[in-house]
Amino acid sequence: MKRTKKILCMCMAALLLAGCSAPAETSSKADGSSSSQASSQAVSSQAGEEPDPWAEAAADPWAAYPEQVVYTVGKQAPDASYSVLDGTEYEGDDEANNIRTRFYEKHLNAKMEVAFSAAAGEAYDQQVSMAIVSGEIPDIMMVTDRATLVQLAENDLIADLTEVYDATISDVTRDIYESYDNRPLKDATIDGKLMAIPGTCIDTGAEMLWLRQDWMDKLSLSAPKTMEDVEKILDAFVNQDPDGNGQNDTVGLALSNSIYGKYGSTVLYANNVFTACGAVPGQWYEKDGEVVYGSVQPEMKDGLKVLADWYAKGLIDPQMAVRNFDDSTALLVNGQCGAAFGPWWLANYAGQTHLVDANARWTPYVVPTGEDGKVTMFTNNPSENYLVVRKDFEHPELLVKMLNYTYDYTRFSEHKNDEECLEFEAPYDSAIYLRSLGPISVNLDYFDAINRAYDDITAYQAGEEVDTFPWVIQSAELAGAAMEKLESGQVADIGIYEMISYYGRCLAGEVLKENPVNVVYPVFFGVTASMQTKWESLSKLESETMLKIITGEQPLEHFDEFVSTWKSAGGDAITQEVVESIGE
Amino acid sequence: MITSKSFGSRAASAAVWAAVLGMACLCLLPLLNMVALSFSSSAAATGNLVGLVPVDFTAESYSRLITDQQFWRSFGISVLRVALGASLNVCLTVLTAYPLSKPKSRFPAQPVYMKIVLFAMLFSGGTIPTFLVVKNTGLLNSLFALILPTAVPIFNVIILMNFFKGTPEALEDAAIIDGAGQWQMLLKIFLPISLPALATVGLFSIVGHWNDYFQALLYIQSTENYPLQTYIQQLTVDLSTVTDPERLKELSRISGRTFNAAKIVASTVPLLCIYPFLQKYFVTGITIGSVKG
Repeated sequence: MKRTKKILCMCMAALLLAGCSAPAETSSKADGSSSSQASSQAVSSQAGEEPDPWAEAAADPWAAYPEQVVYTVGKQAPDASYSVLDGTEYEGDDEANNIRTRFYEKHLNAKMEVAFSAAAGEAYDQQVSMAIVSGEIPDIMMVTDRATLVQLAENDLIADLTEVYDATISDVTRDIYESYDNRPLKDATIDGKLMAIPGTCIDTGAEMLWLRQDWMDKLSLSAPKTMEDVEKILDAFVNQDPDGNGQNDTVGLALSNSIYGKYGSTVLYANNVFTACGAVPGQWYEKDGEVVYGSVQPEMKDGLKVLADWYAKGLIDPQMAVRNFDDSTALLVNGQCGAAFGPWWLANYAGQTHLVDANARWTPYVVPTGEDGKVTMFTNNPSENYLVVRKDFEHPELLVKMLNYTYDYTRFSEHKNDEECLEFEAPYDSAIYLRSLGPISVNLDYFDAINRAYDDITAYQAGEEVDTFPWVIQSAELAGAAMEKLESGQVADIGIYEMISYYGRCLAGEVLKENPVNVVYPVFFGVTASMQTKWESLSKLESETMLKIITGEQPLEHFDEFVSTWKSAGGDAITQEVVESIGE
Repeated sequence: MITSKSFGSRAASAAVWAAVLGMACLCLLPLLNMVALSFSSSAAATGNLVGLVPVDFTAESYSRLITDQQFWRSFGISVLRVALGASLNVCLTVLTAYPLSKPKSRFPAQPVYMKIVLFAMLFSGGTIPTFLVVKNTGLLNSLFALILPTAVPIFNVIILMNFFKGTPEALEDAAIIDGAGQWQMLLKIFLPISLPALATVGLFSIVGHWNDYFQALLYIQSTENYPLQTYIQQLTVDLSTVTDPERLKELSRISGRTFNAAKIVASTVPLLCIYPFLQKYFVTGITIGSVKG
């Protein structure tokens, strides 16, 4: 125990010093080791002892530990099981021993042990709560929401990573966070201390209205721009038999029954309809210098009016209220529906329609525009999830070092084309979800990653030398194959992935680049004290009211009543708390 | 049996038959849909085009299933769990129900034990305390975590106890006169005549253990050791509850609906095999136990 304390003290000293010299470091391993010598000298001169190899390793973003470190992890399990590897050279790999864990072990001399693993979602969150309840959390663990992070911090179960982060983060990793103006880090900071390493939520770009181009051509419809144009197209899609089967069996706009929500995080939301009316649904944002909740602002009424009107005219899927997610997206795939809002990866569904109807072609449009001729989008919580370190874990910097290797060394450093890095980036030919392989289950990428990928793909397709990720080249090639087959009319041979890459990366990428949008940055994503008890019922009230107004069960005027109920049932108090917590 | 031949009563019984058959079919529909899905092509499944007949017939899902080792591993774990868990359930049910079925005159403390048992049936410790007990007894992550906490199914105890109570007292008197002890009485007299009730509680235990997925979510910390239903539950995630866009993107790329349907169909086969053999006891067992109790 005494030895541990001593080491910890020395680590701290080394970290402080290394922190000062960090900006001078580059992201190559060779330079890393020279700077670690510098910091070790600093340690020895300060402590007046022999340099401690543990302190050296701790202070260096890249160095391996002198002896093997064993750490336990709570992690999300892959959706596919490791048995898909049977018969390949990787047979026998499992959760505790796979491409990524071996990589960390080789470079950092740190060995992972699985404390628990469960599938993402309810099962994983269940395990996390059980770990918290029993007071024994793994050395490194991912938590999926900020409320749990706060709970862990308040119960003093996790380590303060402020110094560790400053000392051990590599330049590129730091740069990635800076592309978000460090908003994820601020979000993971509690009482001025960085309590977690946040994963980032990249900018998905604007949500688009995806339309069946073949239907539009057939009905001689031109590209939409405003809300009226959209309405005209929906009307034609519903009433003019676009699929030409002589039956009135097409539906208009496919819409999720939650109507709006986190921007770009899922398909079938009508966020753009609301933002075109000046509303920012479901978000805390600054309006005329005041922080307000978007769903109770008067502008919402205009958006609801449009949707209720469309619904009454039959332009929205009449069964939207009772369809679940799979049922609604099925409409896009089976050719019943030719219009849906969604981010670039709505292509995952659109890219399957040609297998059911060979004529099907989708085109995304950035619409409907507001008064200034642009679409307005809002951003998401920049931090998607959080990695925490157990309070008394001896090597808290291990997490940051692994982050450096995951998102700097293998993706941006001069080593990125090494065999082991390529393998690390696309493990098992992507048969197993890569982020379920190791302890670093969060994503970290530049805010504008989608745009960067699009630029690289177009450059590659134009025959230029591109210095980019293997998966980008792969997408470019898949999309290229789709384009060739479209040209030569072999539509039935276009694979799902080929079509998805073509729609998502090429068509959507181009449209997103060509259409600049207004961006609203919501100001609060956390949970306040009153929210813990009241938010669930307020949210329920909100979503039920919206659905009732759109489906015509309640008149539009009901919105005002909803607003006053919302305010008196705790909304006002929560708004006050949100304002206060931003003020801090 | 006296049967009336009037038109009205025939019509009435025809209507009853039709209604009952209709309801039976309604119960079958979801299962048939699963079977149809499992034999359909992936695009047809994602497009919701599959009803009760497979679209673009293919058995690819099943050939994939045969090579899916985790499925068979989980299958094996489930079989082991049912074998151990259900037999333990039945043993303990019998051993608890037998003394409780004795009247107060023969077993003075019976009311006290009965109250304890009833209390435990109505009130449980709750998820978290139970989890802590399992954890601190070192059962976490082992098959026994799925077996021991539910070793005494009290509802079954009460069914069996009522059944035992219903056996004629004369039988017991005769056995005592012939010099039988309590063990002999239980093994040689009560058990053989209680086969219907035993089959009932046995079936409850088997179905319960086979279908339960939630306990493993709590107590098993490694997905490799999941029993079958937990494994399947993980596969059929409702996409609208997924909030992480990265993961949603990944999940939405390829629908595993046909493959998952094949797994669900395969997982029901063992129960379908057991059911017909136990079912004839099942109905009589339940009514005898409760009516005479």
